[in-house]
Amino acid sequence: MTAPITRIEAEHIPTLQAGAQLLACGTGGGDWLVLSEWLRVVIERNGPLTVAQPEDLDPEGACAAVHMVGSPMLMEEQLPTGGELRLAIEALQRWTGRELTAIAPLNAAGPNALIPMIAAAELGLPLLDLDGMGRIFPLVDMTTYALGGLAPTPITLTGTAGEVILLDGPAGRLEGQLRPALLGCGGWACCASYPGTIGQFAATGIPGSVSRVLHAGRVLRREHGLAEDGFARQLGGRSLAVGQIVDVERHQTDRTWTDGSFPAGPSSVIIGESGGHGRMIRLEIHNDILLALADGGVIASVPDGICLVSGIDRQPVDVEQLQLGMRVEVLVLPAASAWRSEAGMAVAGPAAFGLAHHVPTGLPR
Amino acid sequence: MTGIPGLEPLTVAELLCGGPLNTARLACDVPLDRPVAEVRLLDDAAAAISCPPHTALVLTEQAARGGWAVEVTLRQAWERAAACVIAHESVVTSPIADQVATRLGVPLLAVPDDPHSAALRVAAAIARPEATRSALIARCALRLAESGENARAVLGTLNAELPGVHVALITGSGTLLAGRAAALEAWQTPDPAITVLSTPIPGPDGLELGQLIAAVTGRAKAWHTTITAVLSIALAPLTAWAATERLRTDRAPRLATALLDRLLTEETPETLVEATALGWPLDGPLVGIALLRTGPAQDLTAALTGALTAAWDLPGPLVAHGEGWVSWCRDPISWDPALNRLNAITGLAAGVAGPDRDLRRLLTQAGAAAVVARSHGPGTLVRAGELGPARLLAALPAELSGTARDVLAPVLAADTDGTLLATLTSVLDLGGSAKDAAAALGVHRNTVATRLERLRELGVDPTDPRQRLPLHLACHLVR
Repeated sequence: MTAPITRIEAEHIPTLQAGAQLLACGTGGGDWLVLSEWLRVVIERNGPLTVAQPEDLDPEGACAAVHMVGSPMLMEEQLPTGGELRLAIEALQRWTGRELTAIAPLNAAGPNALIPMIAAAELGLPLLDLDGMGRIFPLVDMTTYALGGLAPTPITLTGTAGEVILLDGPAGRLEGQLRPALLGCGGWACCASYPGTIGQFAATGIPGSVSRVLHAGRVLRREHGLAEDGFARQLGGRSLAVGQIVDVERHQTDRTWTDGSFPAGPSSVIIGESGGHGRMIRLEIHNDILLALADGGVIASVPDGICLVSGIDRQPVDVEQLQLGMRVEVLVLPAASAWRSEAGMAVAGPAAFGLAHHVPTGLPR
Repeated sequence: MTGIPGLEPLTVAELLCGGPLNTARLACDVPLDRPVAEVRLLDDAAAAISCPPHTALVLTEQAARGGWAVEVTLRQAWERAAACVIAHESVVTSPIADQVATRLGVPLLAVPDDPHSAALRVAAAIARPEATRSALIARCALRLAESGENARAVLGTLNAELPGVHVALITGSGTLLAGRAAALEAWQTPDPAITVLSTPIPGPDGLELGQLIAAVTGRAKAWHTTITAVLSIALAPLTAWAATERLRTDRAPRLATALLDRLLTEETPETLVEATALGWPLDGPLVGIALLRTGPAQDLTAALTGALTAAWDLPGPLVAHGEGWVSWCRDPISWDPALNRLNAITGLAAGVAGPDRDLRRLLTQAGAAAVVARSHGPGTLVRAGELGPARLLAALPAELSGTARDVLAPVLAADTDGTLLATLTSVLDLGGSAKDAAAALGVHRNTVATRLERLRELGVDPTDPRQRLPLHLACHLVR
């Protein structure tokens, strides 16, 4: 890892975007041009934003996670007005009675890597160099923050028409209420959640996550002489296989192991390994790539991030873009150590995705 | 659900072959000789971890949700040395599962009915291996009876009913007649992993018709015994098939003639199979004889075939072919007694050839020798090897005889008793010597001189170098 990042300027945006796309593990959903433009406009107007290590700030200062929920693709259709993030934060501040002194990312991967940057630049607040997932998980409460005892509620949602929705209550009821509210907003909304202190975020968050996005982007874009060799290792992971996609299966939900509690439908991608043992690599995808099998043996599974890069130029590939014949490399990016605990595995391990009874124990670490 | 100790357990092949899984689709190409000692129903793929070796793993539909569950189970099966993986056909839809099964060498069986009942059937079968084997042999016997007396149908039935086994019908020297080439390949190039079981097929005359071979992977003895039993059941319909074919050609010799023509013009698997049924030797060094009638040119071939065949007691068939008859066999024999006996029925001359591996070449050479023999009169036997350059004359195509008659038209018109043509031929045969010709013809030298003078008047001069070769050829052709 390189030195922690302290400032984010406009010139960092393409690198951040590339890094966020890789860490999204194939579920980024598009290239979020709207988001990067939004961030550029705000930085050009308000100046660069500060990225702070939590120990450098007052641990008692109020902080919250700022993010979006819903489909980033719908954001390209229903464009933001620019005021949604401020509105969400102000609503949370009114409800909790505390003014934020820092912003934290919910997950520094995918579009949610850029959203808290926009909020921090917009409000002139420092952005904490940590996050609650280290990758993307489908549910708002699948975070190390929640694992450490911080509640996701109250949470505010704001839509493009200026609507503000506040949900408060037990965390276990959140997802059921959040999804209909989200539909009401048009499929995506800006959020402020997990109201707490900087000290609480420091204790429960995954450190260095924002810096990691920039570093991943630099490796991908071969900046600073990176990525000449040991590509996967420089990203902090390892390469599982290189091969060609030989089959893409879309499953009917009623014929799979899932119980419908996750937003998207499941699918599988089969990769015929080129070279090596010529294994058949199967990726099981449900929102994220949950499981990688080689000839039926588990070689990676959640909570580790399994992601695909193009076998030709090593750029991140979205699961939606996968086509027969495409050459890809499968990488595994190990999950943060917080997810390795028993409680962490219960939230984000194979069991949480309905795979518990199927995946043999003794997963590779 | 465990097998009986002491008895050799059933193999996956036996479960498939008429056994409790005979409706299952085998989704991969793997050896099927794995013993099945136990059955285990799996409600989730991970439960395979606790299974002992040689277990048939049956995935319930609940456990098989998601194509990957089948692959995970295959992997577990491979790691636990399980016998096979059985799942409902609706969950074995991805060709990838088949590929993984093939890569791991684990049989993957897709059943059309409820996996629970498949598991129960397997459990019942492995509890009584001998009963299952008997049922399997009985089923094969029934199927073989249904397939009738036809080599191809019998082989098709054997290959369909014995999963994972390649069965073929071959000649003694290893030519594939029916069935799978893979069996012949295994027979020719021994592979320690593959056992080849073979059974000689007796022909109706007691001579070996060929061999029935079965290539099977692995060393499961009981399974080999079962296969051998099934093969021996197949011998009867194969011998019966050969007998039927022979009866048919005996009744209508034209069928044999037509078959030989086909065999000599274009050797197809069909002609090979028919010829084998008739017991015709087809490979190895062969010796052959061609017989031609010496009497007046009149086609009596069809009329005489019956009488000649009745008098023919040598090994090998006697088949009407071209203007005469041919016969061939493997071992060199003395032809003279047979020729003498047949010569008594009708005037015959014979040419013999061989040994030769090529039947077509053998019969052509014997035929050429027979043409030469015919010019020497009945009872003559000429060996192709002794013909020398005379082979060329014997091989002249019959189509040229019309032209030859044209060339010799003046002579033939004037030659009422054939003496002119005989003299011309004799003079040319003996290098133009009138003296030698007179001796050969048994006439006075002056008679020959007179006849030669007569020939010159007709425009034919055997001493003219430009005329000599065409005249000589024409004489041979019109004779």
